[in-house]
Formats: sequence, structure tokens, C-alpha cells
Amino acid sequence: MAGLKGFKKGGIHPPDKKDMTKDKAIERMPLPDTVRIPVNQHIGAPCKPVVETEDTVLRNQVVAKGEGGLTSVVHSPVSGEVISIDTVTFPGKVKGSVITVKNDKQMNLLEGSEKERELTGDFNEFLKIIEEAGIIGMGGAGFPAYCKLNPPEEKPCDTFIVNGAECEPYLNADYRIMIEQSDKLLASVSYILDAAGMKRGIIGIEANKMDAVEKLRSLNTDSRIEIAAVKTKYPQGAEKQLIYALTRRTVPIRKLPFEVGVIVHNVGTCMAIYDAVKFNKPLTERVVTVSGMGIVEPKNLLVSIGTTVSDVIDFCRGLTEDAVYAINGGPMMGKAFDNLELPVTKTTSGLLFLTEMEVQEEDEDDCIRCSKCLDVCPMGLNPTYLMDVSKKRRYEDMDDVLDCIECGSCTYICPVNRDLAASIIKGKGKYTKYLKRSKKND
Amino acid sequence: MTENKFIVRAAPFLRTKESTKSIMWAVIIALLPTALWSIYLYKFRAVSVILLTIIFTEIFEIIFLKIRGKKNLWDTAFDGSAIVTGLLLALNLPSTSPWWLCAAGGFIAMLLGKHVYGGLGNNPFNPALVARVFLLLSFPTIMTTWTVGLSADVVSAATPLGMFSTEGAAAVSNMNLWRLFIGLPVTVNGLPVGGGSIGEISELAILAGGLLLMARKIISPVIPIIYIATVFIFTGIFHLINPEMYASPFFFMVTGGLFLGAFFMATDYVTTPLTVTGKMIFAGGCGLITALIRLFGAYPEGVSFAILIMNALTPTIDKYTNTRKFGG
Repeated sequence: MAGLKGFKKGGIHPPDKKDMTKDKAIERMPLPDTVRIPVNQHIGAPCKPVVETEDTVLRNQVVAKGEGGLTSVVHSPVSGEVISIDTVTFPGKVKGSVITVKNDKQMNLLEGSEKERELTGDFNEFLKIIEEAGIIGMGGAGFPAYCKLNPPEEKPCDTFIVNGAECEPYLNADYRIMIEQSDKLLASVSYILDAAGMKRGIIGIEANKMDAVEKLRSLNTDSRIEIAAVKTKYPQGAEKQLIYALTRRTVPIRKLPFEVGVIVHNVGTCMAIYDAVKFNKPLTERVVTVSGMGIVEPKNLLVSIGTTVSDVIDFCRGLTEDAVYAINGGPMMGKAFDNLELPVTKTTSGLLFLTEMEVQEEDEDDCIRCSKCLDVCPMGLNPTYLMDVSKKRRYEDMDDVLDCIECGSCTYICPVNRDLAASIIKGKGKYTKYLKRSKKND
Repeated sequence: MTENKFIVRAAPFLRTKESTKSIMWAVIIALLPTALWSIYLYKFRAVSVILLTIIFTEIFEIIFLKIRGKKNLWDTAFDGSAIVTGLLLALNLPSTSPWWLCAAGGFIAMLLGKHVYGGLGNNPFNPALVARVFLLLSFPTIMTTWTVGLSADVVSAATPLGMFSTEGAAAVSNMNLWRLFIGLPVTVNGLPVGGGSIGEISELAILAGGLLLMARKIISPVIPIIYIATVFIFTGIFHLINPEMYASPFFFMVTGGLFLGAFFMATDYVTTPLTVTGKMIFAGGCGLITALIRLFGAYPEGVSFAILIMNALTPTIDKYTNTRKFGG
């Protein structure tokens, strides 16, 4: 595939491992008996539950909301009774509240929801719908969608990018949506271009999914929309990298895409936006790839937010004996967890169950200074140096840690198995706190 | 439900299969054309120098790892790094090296080159070059007694660089540079010329191995290209100014240890800079020092000294060069 567009620096070619679920059509998983709805699934101001134990809730009713400019509401995917609100530890040691709702199987809808409607085409109405539908970036970051679609006035955006790169190995959720619901995806992009007044839309797809590219191209009738194949190279789906590949625009360091006139949304997010504006349907379900050698029957599932991992496992006919890793997300950036009662969230793109054979553990050794981590870093950083200064907490030398996009390419490539990405991400946390402390002291 | 116990740790959960061992073995394979050519030229003498040096180096590696109390002793001992050091050292020795010279070289390489600093990854200087320079200074006669290959007798012969150094540019002006590039002896006024360390004779064989390492993405072309180009340009300028005093830049490319050094020793991971800019500075410095020593120095050859001097500057180069950030 010579001549394909790609990103500027670095990148790796991990085995793609997509075959296990590539040809599996999206299957709707029945609503579970209970759902455990996380109160905070987004980046921004935290939410609080707005229901209490023993309350009765309707499907699509708001159960948690936050205050401030950057937040997102949460809805119940089932009707039934709130049986508990408790605190659990999420992957990555983040504590958060979870609202448990017992499904009464009545499917009692919130008045007016899930009904087709006509819209005025007013931009503010459009944003309000997206905000009230609780839509956040479903690729993994969880940034509230209405904020992303509303850049500052002095930075008008002309280009809307749909991120269909899906560069994480194993994952096929976006791919299946693009193949199975091509018309709806194209309609959603046209709609967003109209509503937000942008000139062109580009759907960026890695070249290992050419069938999706061809299908979308053959169905597309909107001349503003381009379907572009990009190089199959990790992390092609990273926002800044995809923007560069598709537009040759470079987002300045520590700035957001609107600086270069671009707004990016993931495939799943576009679908959710369309469902919200057209059918008054809040975000209460998503497509999740369940895969890995550790699950008996890998699938692509349409799952209600709040469905527990153990319910998903049961629906996929259980785990194999040698499954030793449960991962929320892809194998490069996902988070390992051991509590199978945790729920699927709006940002769960995959649930992977991996065996020892798939994840070969080896001992870490001294750096041999091969400089491969520098070569593969898509942000052009010096990972081995940043790991060293992070471990030693040499704050004055650590500033570059803030530019790490946490893609894990450095750890992947390291021949002596150093935990580069993990150490730098930890360093990022420490450095951010350090900056806050020194600001206070000033 | 299930009885599975899950491991919780940080991402990523996939890793490349490339390891120190696979890298070192690729280097060993890349050195095979050079080693085989030395055996073609020097027959059993090359075989014995290569085997003895590798075996002694490996023995001292095991001893020093043991003394340092390294865990995974046998895995580490056979990660191939000591074999690479031993093989490179052997290729930097004359064919007439006695067994004890090989042993002394292996000892110095492992002790002063590697383990006093804490082993692989922590050594500032290329271990094989530390040993070679130690031997050159300690046993100058043995280390500079050269013989010509493809001859049944041990016939002493000057190296082309040695001839240039003692007799001037005119003496080497008619040498068949293509033969030197391929690695065959040449004659000047009926006398055989073309000796040298057993592994520096054929630039062609070294180039073949170097290209293999580049194709495998184990070394980047930056260092070899800039190193060789700097020597070429620097010697070329002097040749243009005064061709009677300074030999042709092509002559300097196909003689001595330039190719072996540029492809296999100036590219050593541990002892060279991390950043691309750093690598360029390093390689340019190596080229400049090599050319200076060859044209004006007391020694006919300067590759070993050049690389060691630049090794010493590597931490400084690393400190003052950085990567270029995307969007920065």
C-alpha cells in the first residue's frame, strides 16, 4: 500500500489480531437483570447521582448529572428500581459511584424518548440535544461531544474528521459499524456538517479495512464527504496523528484540534449523535468487541451501558481456563482489571480476555540505549530519558512528559522490556501535581 | 462462575519479539561475510583467532557476571553480547595473534570494557575497542605485524595506510582500489601490500553485513553514511589542495578499519548517542578525527581512537541534543 497517507513520526506495526471477530456481525445482547451505571464516564466536571435508592426510573431517564461547562449526563438503559448506589474502584485505581438498577423488564420509556422528530437545524438546539443525550467521545478519551463540536468563535472549523482508524489490535467495533450501518454513518456525517456549518467531512480508515472504505465510497452521495484510506500503522487513530495524515495540518503541541480548524469524532460517537438528534435517543448502549484467546466465543456486541463484565462473559459462553488478563479497551492502551462485576461504560470499545500465551511476560533489563523508543514515538519524544527522569522525579527535566499521548509504542518496541509508557504516565501524574503545588506557592 | 485469577498491570499488553538476544545474533550473522572472508584469506590462522577470542571473551563474561551476582546468569551470559564483542575484537586483530593475546583481549574487553561499569548498557566505551587499544599500546609490535592473505607463508607486509603514512601519497597512488574494496591483496613494485586486521580487509563483505543490519532495522544508516562521508570529504579537500602529499579520498575509503568501524562499532547502541542529531554529531566527529589521524597523526590509522574519543563525548552530546517534537 504505497502512497497512502500516514502520520509524521514514529509508529509501530503490532500484530493486528483482528481475525477473531472481524467477520462477526454485531449482536444485540439482551438487557441484563441488573445494570450498574457508572456516574462518571467522561472527562470534566464530575457528576452526582440525581436518583436515590428505591426510586423508580424509566428507560432513558437521567440518573446522574454534573455542574459546570464541561460535563456530561448519564441515563438509565432500563426501567426499574434503583437498588443501591455505592463506590467501586475502576481500572486504573479510580474510585467512582455506581448506580445499580434492577431491570423490571417493562421497558417503560421516558416520555417522548426514542421517537423520530423534525429539527429546526438550529446549531444551539443541536448542541443542547447532544449535551442532554450524554454523548462523550466513545473512542476512549470520553471528552463531552457538545464541547468538542462548539469550538471558540475565533477558531472556526472547516473540517470534520470521523475517526475510523481503529488502530488498536483485536478491536472491530468501529469496523463492524462502518460495514453494517454505512448509510447511517454517512447520514450522520452529512447531518453534522449541516448543523455545525462545516465545509468538508473526511472518514479516515486504516488500509486494513479496505472493504469498509469501498462500501462507504460506493454509498456516499454527499460531495462534501471524502472516505480516505490511511496507512495501517499504530497509533494512526491518535487524534493529532490522524489529523496530520488526512489534512497535513499539525496540531501545535498541547493544543486542541480546533487550533487547525478540525473537529474529530469517533465512528461510534457520530452514530450516537445521529440517534440523539434524529430519534431522541440518549447514549445508553454501545458496540463492544469481546475478544482474545481467553473468551470462549469472541463477539461484537451491542451492549447497554452498565452491563457487568461477568454478564458479557456469560453471554460469550464463558472464559477459558488460561485467561489471565481482563482488559478494558485495546491491548495497547487498555486497562487491566480483576473485578468482573465492573460495568461496560460509554468508552469501553473492547473487552479483551488474554492468555499467558498472547501476552508474553519477560523480565525487565537495563536499557541498552538502542534508541528504538525514540524512533517509534509518534510525538517525537525521548521515552528512555523521560522514564529515567520520571523515576527519579527530576521535575526540572520532566516537562516533556506532558506531551506523551500514552500510546505505548515505546514499551512495545523495547527489546529489554522496560515499562517505558507506564513510568512516563506515572511521571505525568506526579509532574502535574508538582506544577499545581508550585503554582500555589507562587 | 469462573476461577480465573487476573493480573493487573499497566498497558501495553503486546510486545515485540525483538530482544537483546535477537539483536546480537543478527549482528553476529551480519559479521559472518567478514569472518568468512578472513578465513578465506588467512585460513586456519583466522579460524583460531576468531574462535579463541570468542571463547575467552565468553568465559570472562561468565566469570564477571558471576562475581557481580547477576540473576538469570546463563540467560544473560548467552544473550550474544559477549560473542559480538569477542568476534569484533578478533576481527580487529592481526592473523598472527598468539592465543594469549586473544585471552588478554577478552579479559580486558569484559573487565575494563564492560563489567566495571555494571555490564551491558552501562559501559561508556565500546568494549572491543577498549581491548584493541589496550593491546595496541601494550604489545605494539605484535599488533602491527601484518601479513598478506592467500599466501601459504607468513609474509610480512605493510598495510596500505601504513605505506601512505611512511612513504607518502605517491607510493599508494597506483594501487588497485577495486581489489582493495573487494578484499584482495595488491602488489606495489612487486611487493605484496594489503595486510591488516583480519576483519578489515574486505569492505565489500562488511558492507553486505551492514546492509543486512539496516534492512533488519537494527542500525540506522545515519552513522555509517555520515562517518564515511566525512572521511571522504575531509581527505578529498586535502587531496584537491595537494594530490602529491595527500592520497585520494577513494583510497581512504577502501583501506584500514573505516568500514568495520563505521558499520559495526560506531553503531554500537550502548556507547553512541540516542537522538538522530546526536548520532550525526557523533558520526561527523568520528570521521573528522579519523581523517586527522590518518593525514597528520603519528599512527597510520585512527578509527579506534576516533570512536573511543566520541564514545567519551556521548553523554555530553546526549545532554545537548534533543528530539524534535511533533507539533513543537
